[in-house]
Amino acid sequence: MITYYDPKTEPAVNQSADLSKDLGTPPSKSTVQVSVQIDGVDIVVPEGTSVLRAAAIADINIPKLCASDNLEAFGSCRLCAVEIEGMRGMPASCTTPVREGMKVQTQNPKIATLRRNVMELYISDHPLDCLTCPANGDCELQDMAGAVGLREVRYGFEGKNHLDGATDSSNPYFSFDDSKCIACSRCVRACEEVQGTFALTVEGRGFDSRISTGQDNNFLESDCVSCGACVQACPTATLTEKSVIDNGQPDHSIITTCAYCGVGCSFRADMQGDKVIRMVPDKNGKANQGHSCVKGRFAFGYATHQDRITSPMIRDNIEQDWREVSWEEALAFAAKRLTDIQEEHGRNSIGAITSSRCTNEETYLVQKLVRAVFQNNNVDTCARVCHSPTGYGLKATLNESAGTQTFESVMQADVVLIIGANPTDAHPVFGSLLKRRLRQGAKLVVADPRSIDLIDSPHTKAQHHLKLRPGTNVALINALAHVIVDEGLEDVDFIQSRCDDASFQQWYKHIQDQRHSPENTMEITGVEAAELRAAARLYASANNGAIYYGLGVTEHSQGSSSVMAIANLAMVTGNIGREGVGVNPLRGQNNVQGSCDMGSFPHELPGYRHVSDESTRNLFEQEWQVSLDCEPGLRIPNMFEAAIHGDFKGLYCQGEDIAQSDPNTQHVQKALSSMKCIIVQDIFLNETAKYAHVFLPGSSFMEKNGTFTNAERRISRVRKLMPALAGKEDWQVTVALAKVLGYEMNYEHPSEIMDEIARLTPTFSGVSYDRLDQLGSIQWPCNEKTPLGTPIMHTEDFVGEKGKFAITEYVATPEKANKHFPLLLTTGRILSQYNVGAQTRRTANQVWHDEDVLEIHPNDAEDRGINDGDWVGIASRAGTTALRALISQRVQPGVVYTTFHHPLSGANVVTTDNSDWATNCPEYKVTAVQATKVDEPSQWQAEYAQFSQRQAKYLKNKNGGEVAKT
Amino acid sequence: MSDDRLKYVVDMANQIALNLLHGKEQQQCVTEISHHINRFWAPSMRAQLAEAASNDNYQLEDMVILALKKIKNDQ
Ligand code: SF4
Ligand code: SF4
Ligand code: SF4
Ligand code: FES
Repeated sequence: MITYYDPKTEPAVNQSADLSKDLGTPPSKSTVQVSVQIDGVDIVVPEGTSVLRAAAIADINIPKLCASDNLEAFGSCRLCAVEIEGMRGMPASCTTPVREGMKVQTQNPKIATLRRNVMELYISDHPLDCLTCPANGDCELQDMAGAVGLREVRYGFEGKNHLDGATDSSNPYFSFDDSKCIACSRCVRACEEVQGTFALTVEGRGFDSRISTGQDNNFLESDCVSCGACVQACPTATLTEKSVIDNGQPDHSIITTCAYCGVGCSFRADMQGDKVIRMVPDKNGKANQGHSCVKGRFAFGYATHQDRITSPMIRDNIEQDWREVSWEEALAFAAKRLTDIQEEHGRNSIGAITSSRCTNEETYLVQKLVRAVFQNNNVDTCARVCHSPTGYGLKATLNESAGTQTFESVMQADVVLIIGANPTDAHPVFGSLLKRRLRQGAKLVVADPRSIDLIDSPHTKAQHHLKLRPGTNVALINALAHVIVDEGLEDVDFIQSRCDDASFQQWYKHIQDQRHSPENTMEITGVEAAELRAAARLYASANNGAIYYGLGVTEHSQGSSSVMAIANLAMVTGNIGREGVGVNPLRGQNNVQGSCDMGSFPHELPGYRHVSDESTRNLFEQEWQVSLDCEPGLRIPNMFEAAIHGDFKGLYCQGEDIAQSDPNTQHVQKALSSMKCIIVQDIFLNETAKYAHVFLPGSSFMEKNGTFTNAERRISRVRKLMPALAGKEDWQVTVALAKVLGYEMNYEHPSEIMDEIARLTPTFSGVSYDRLDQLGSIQWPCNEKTPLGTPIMHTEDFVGEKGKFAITEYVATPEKANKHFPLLLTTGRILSQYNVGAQTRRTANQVWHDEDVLEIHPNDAEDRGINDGDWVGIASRAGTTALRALISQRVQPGVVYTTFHHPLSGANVVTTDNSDWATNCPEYKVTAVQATKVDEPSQWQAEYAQFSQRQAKYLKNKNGGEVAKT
Repeated sequence: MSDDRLKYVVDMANQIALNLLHGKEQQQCVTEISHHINRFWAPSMRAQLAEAASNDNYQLEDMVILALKKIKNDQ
């Protein structure tokens, strides 16, 4: 029963260019057209197109098994045989390209007999349990048997066969039933060509060919990263999702967007009623083109996890049992507290934090609540702690706070420079696309203190790994620019025509100085001058040079300088404004771009317009019918500081877990404990909720309508798959809170919120749900001038202006290693977990990473008597925690590394308050620490474990337990 | 006003100055610092910085002192 569907979202799933049909082989990129005749039908297709694909385009569907249009043709099954005038025999149509004037016959008795014989051979070695097979109804083998009219199998099952093949169920999400495998190798090719992992091989020859995960491993122990590409490619039930085996085939599908990382993959949610059976990457999805990673593809079970809290709760103080109450009571309680605080402590004593996990519409409403109802600008977002330097740095140089390209653009890059990013772990679908380009011959330069997978993985090797010391990005990027200028590699035409001359001249003089030379910065960065010079030449001399960067650039005391230095580098080489080039921030969470676009920063209204701009303010004042504050509000770290000093008392925190994700945990805890009213809106009782007085249950991405904007500025629809478990979608909660605070927000549907955003924001003026449904997705700016959106930015100018070079002097971080703290800790992510882990820890992804560990170089481990798996105490100037050691050559001597996916790891107990000079983005990537062997958790960990136990008890007592004693 | 609180804004302002003072004339540098503080800091933080500037216990960079003067003059 699907009565909860909103009429406005249907028929949303039908998108303009439907790529769902499998045309058999990939498209040809040729611009030369050739005419062919297939079964008497004339068709014109690009040269190089296969006969199979040409026929499919004309809706002549030749049977096939080993071919799929996302894989290079292999020609092994012979089912697609055709007759071609002037050619001998019956060639495979999947491996035969069209020629001008070619005449093809796809059907005649001879062809039919051949196809039946082929199918008969397959079926004679295949279990005939179709009725009880999990793929029944979704099996290409079954379909092809029907298509070729197979009626009998003459060979029987007595001879040699594979029917007793074993099943490998080691992967938590899919199984491999060898007895059903037809050795078509689609899975092997998907793993190689689509995913780029090369985890599978065909072992043996002829009849003995079997699919193997190599070296007698099962799937779980192999190199497989569980992306699911092979499962999707498999035409039989051999590789099948366990959720399909358990539940049966889905009965309908809805297109939506992944709620994990900034790639923003589009998915087809395959459903039974309101239950999601599986998520299949959408071939129409322009960000992912039918590919996925383990998180979006499989790790969605958290949405219905038993830990979900679906009733509002309140309590007077944080050492009290929670009390489950109605929405009305919870909202009234929250509103009274906020009002009382403002009366006692002033208008600026409360604020809110929006989340990059929430939709554009939700973040827009939270900032509206703050500005229009709280009557201040104390709104900030979790982008503060990740990509706020991108917003600042790109606006200052390129005049727009966003990346410049599509992901697909990388397929035209000749040299790719990756700085402080680890795409195969943090942006896996983009990582796969990049690997495909590298296999085609593009060159790779990686600047990272740690050896990421891309540097040396099957069939891809980085030409240069600039293994810099943590915290020296600016010195390194300046040195690259110095080489370009020093060796005359700049693009003079681009600079003259597209860039501001005064800023260029000033920058040119600055960067020419010998202190920026690789020889002179070597001491700072630790990177060999010759290697750096070679990398600079490679990037500067490429036809198309593209830069991709991540949190390894932004989360530094000079994050903003690094971003501006990157923009300088792209401008000085003319690598902006066309396919294959650009400055590409790889955003962490799904809607980082969107939450920034929606006015979540305390100094900006939606569309990055400063609150002091009177005409912009007037626009919003008229629409919202209130007067607005013209002064910037507090950023998150400023809120904490003000809380500790008694000036900031109330916080509405939607979908963000600041207690775990923000640096210097003890400082954050002190700030949270100092407030009188913390309202947490989330799907789980997260770490921040342990300090909360009001808990408003949130809705997962499956339970609501809205939009996310990915790292390409691509706005995509999130569609409601099931009713909100708590009875309200997140946007409705904010509307209700505004109402009890005395302000009416009148929306019937999130599409109306988007209409308001479009009315008020020039870069969004052409965006509407109708247009999104028509186009599938839209990259902003989308307005009268660009009604279909803007895939590539800055093709003619920099938003009406010239590009501005910025002087970016290297200033060493105050966070220095010394004899007490001799190691530098840097942090990052892992493929299977996501951010604070609240979602992925509640899925089977735990099997790959159930605790955070400390990577330490063998020399540093040996010096300290640390062995693999030992508990290691990590002490910094901020605090102490303990993790197990993982001895690894990935980190350089003097550097240690960890992740922050598990709350008790306390990675952020150690990180400090140091932050980016321009934006206060925390310096997660550089913390001076000492590591010593210990045999118990740190004091913080012990105390936090006790605190968490108490909070669990308060939750358990939510329906009327005693008031707890502290 | 507690010392910590003022030290916090002083450190932030000094860090801004340290990052903006290179490769430019003093006037440009002062303008950029004052612009940055006006554009991104809440008024309460600007007030704390002004308070710190009048207190000998805090070491403000020269450029920050000039930027504060400019902010005051421009008001
Ligand atoms: S799930 Fe992905 S990585 Fe694993 S074997 Fe299949 S295609 Fe390869
Ligand atoms: S597992 Fe599936 S895709 Fe792979 S060879 Fe066997 S039948 Fe083909
Ligand atoms: S790459 Fe990112 S958006 Fe795509 S499926 Fe994985 S987590 Fe989701
Ligand atoms: S589909 Fe062409 S040979 Fe298999």
